[in-house]
Amino acid sequence: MSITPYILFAFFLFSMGLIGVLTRKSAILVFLSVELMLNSTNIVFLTFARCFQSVEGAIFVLFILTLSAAEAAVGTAIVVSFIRKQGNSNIDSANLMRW
Amino acid sequence: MFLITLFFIVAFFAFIGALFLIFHPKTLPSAIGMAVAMVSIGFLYLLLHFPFLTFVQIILYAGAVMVMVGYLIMSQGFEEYGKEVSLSQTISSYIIAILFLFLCSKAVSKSFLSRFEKTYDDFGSIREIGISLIKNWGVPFEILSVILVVAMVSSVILAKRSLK
Repeated sequence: MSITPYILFAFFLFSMGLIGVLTRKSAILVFLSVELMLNSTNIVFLTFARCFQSVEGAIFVLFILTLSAAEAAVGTAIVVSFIRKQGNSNIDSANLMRW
Repeated sequence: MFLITLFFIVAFFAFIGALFLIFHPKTLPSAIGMAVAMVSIGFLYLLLHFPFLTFVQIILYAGAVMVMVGYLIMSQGFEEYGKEVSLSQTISSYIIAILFLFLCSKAVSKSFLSRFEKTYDDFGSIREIGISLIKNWGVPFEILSVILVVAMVSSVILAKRSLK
């Protein structure tokens, strides 16, 4: 089969994650939308790895998965301390360094 | 024919999960939709002959990230999250996303695209990935372990009750 459906589906998921980042208010959902965008890039990596018969794409996907796990740990810690300080998780109340 | 049917079924489930993530007004169903999308993307890896990454994806997202996020949501009471974004911001974000999608699909339609060939027997197995990881990517692998330790320590310090 052709690789076009995989690539187009990855772009589609990336756009959905972009909409989620730009329109959601809750900090934790913005963070989850970023994870969705990361996973759509994983699909592109693996599609081309399968297409060119090389495992280097899989290695990069492993690196991205590890980084997203680290990002999840730090992100939830930041959200916890943010809620403790502000009382809610609305990203509009994160305006301390806004000019 | 069988593979493309399977692809569309898995992609449909991922699409439903992503719809829940970006449109559901409550936080916990959105996170569950995210978990559904992640597991579906893992099965997409399986369709691309990478079973090891499927298991890693399911363990990492449905196991680790979703448990952490679900615990965070349920313990902090996220159900109220303020007013929605304004209409102009919503419309402009949709326009940006549609423009991006249009640009990328234009690039895909202009480029040379090949088809999936038949792979060799061992392709995408744990053995091959491990050999390539140790042989060619040893230094980035060690740097990643350092990054994981730094992330662990910094998340503990960030989430401590008092920063004094």
